[in-house]
Amino acid sequence: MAEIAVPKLNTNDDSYVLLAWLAPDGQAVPAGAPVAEVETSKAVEELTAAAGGVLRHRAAAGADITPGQVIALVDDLAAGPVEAPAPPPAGGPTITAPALARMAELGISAERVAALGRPIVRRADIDALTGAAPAPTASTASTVDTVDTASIVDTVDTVETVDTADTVDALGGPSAGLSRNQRAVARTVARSAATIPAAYTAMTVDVGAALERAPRLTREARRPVGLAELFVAAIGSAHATHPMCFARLDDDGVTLHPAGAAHVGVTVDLGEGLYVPVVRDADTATIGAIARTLTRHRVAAAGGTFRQADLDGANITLTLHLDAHVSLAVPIVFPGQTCAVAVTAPRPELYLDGDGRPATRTVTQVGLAYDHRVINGREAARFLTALAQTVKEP
Amino acid sequence: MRVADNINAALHSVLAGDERAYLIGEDLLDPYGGAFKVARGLSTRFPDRVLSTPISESAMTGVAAGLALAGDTAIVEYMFADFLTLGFDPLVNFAAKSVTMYGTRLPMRLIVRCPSGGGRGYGPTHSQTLTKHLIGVPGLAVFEMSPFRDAAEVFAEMLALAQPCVFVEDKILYTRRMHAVPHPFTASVRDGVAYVGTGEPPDLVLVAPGGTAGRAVAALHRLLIEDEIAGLLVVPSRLYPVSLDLPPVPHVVVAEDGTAGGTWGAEVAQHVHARHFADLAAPVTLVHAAGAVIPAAPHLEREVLVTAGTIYDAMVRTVRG
Amino acid sequence: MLPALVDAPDQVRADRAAMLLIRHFETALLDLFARGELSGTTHTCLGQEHVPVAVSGLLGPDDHVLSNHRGHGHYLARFDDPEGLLAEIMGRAGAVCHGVGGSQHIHRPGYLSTGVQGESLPVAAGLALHLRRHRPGALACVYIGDGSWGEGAVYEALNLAALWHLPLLVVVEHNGIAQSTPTGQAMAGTVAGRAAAFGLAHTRITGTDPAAIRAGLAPLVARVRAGEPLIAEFHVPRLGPHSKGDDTRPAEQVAALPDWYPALAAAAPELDRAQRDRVARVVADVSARPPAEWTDR
Repeated sequence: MAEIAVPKLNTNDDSYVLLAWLAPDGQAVPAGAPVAEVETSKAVEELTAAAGGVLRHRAAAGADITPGQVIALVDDLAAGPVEAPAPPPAGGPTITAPALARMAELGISAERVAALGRPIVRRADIDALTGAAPAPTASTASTVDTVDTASIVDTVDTVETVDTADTVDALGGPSAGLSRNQRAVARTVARSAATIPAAYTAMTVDVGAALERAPRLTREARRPVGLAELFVAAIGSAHATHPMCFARLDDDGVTLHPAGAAHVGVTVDLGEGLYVPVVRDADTATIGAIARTLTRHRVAAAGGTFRQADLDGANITLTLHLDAHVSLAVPIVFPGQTCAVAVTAPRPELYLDGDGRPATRTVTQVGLAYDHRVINGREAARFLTALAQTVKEP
Repeated sequence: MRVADNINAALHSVLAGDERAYLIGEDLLDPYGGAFKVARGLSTRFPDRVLSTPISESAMTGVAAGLALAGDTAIVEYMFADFLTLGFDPLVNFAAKSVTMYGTRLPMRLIVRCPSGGGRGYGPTHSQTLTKHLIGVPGLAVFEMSPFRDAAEVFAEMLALAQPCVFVEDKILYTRRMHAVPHPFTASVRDGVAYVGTGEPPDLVLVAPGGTAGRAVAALHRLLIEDEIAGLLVVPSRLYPVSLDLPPVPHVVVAEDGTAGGTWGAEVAQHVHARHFADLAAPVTLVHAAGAVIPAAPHLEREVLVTAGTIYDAMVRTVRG
Repeated sequence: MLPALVDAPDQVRADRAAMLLIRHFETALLDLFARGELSGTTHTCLGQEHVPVAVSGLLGPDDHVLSNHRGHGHYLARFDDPEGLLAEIMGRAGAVCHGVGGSQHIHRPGYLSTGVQGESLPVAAGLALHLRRHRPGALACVYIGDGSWGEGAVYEALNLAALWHLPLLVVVEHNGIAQSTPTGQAMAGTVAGRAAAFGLAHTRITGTDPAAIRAGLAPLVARVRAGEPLIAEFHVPRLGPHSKGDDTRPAEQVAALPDWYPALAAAAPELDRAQRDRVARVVADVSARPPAEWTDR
């Protein structure tokens, strides 16, 4: 089998037009026969078959073709026709790279995707196709936070990432070292480590009922409701009974400022930098309102379009570590706050029920890092217990 | 249809439809038909009104201005836009100013066509895009050929202004096909501005003149495929005065072939900031060639000029921060 | 040589009246400048008045005139409108170009001046091209100085004019000095040699009698109308400064330059007085007008 590739016909064009096939698909052609007419910006050239055989078109008349592209195969007659691979279907959807990766991961065929009838197929469309956990936004493949204890960002510094006039020189290259976003993370983490004597308490929490409740809440809110939304709500409802967990300790180490409402910072990291946007008034907000706010934040994280107001004013932080195999995460405490709650991925667990019989349940490890100057282990445990209760039975 | 053929057809229709229209420039006569063959067939069809001049950019521009002054329609073809500097006085000091400097508005139907841009290895004095030097000249408008808009329409728009217009034509564009965009993008034109998008609400707007359109579309395609970010390409035919009405988007990037410093993009950014400030999450990002001469060797030329990769990188950086 | 009263006394009187009008107009401008009543700059044509007076007599209504920075005489010889010109220079109501163009940028149908040296020659070539097609027999007449020959655009345009057989009349007012630089320091060779290099007709004129000048030029200008461009080089004195108070030449050198005025004023004292009075009335009238308004932008 021989290939007919497009030669480089001049120096001005990087593509030509396949004007017409001079021999139809499937026709036997002798060696040296003209088979196609190719138009450059200056002239029309004929391409010939180098060897005789049956012509198999691999490009359509009228198509743009580039030098080096194989536009036809010539089957050797003596060897019998060779079944060439089918040409790619014309007019199929445009499938994004994240969507392709998801298809491969889930073993979904191109035909199934084409049957969606969408001109553009994104990762979220694949998720929807399989009923897998939907990506929270339509425009990005959202992966949730990895195990990263450096989960809090100075909000003021974060804004710099969207507030800089970028003039991009073709000669200019990226500077080496930490990204601007990560430099901000580094500053905050270092300040926390230097100024806050933090302690850590963790508790296993049964989230089975919560996860059963989530799909209904999602339908009602018309926004995704998952562990993030439920824990924001739980933290909010604990504000009244555990005000110290939301308080701010002055730099003098003595004066405490209680918080009038629960403003919960939530970590969002889509792989392009860590952000901690805030769900305001989580103590009074409905689960639907919380879901809407978090959806908006995720879209903003994908686009880097946060406003300053989105990032300001948290008095407690929720760090999410929902990747499948994360079992323990110790967050740092954001300077100016007292507590940071870490929630890890839910996992099945064997346990003994009230009758002493083995059973399974879905649990997650919920941790609390806290400023030991402000609260002690007893208050930490009571706070975690309150969260566990609310998540189980709001 | 190739872009060069589209411009050629537009010139044929202007000269056929207007007895007072001339085409003036160097090496225009058939069978040569101009250095980039855009004038093919015109001198044969309109021998009295296609004037092939000596190598005299100043004179050919001044002659055209004289014709325009007398009420004729004059179209000048520069062999390379770089040589505009040789015709700057008749264009800027005479033709453009004449529209208003005599106290009452004086119609001047004059179009100066400029094969611009690099990518062909012609080196520092045959590869430039001089748009920046033509911005802010009273009485002078700047347009650019785009593969998304019929040149005949743009010529009609320029002539209706009755003032001198520079028409930038990217040399690489000449051999490209008109109206070609890859799936799932489609192109549409509204009020003289071409929009290339997927039909979804865009996350980002990329403003680019016609000459960069091929690279801009390639960059947007990659942005969609790799990053699932929907971009809308906005290609105004009239580059100056700037007037753009963009959809509300948080990010705007401007890409052009001019060199760094005093760019057209800065003018666009100023316009967008003034008009769309409330929608923007960040200042407009400018993408342009390096502040360097344009080398002849292809690998060096690529380092200096704006590529699809340059535009893509800038868009990603803009959106991701 | 004075305009002589021979066969056409009306024409002679008109020539004399025009030359005197220009002289008194330019003198009045310098006076207004000295009194601080004019802003900007102006370039008077003292000593060169007879050139446009002679040339204008050879031009018809379809001909186009392109003037330069030293253009008051060109305008007044073409249009009997000292009011409009002075209003333009002073920025007053009734200005030819509403005060936008000023002394050096004036446009009326068939007439245009620009202040950039050499710029007008290619434009004149374009106008000549237009006239050849639409007004056969009409010509474009462009005034330049000896200093303009330093500009490349002049040569590009002359080349085209010769190649394309354009009806182009180039009037050179060779006054021997460009701003402060004597021609000898600015021009190698001669204007005649330049004309010869392009195969263009050239004639040299030294007199100041418009009728005599016209008699000599008429047959050559007729050939211009048939497509044979001409360079008519007038040797003239520049009696005034380049613009105002910037004459670097010794006073005695300027005083020794020939001037047609004393003899004409002696020969026609009443006409001289009449034109002086007319200019004085124009100055008084225009000075009293409100500022010009620029509305059609």
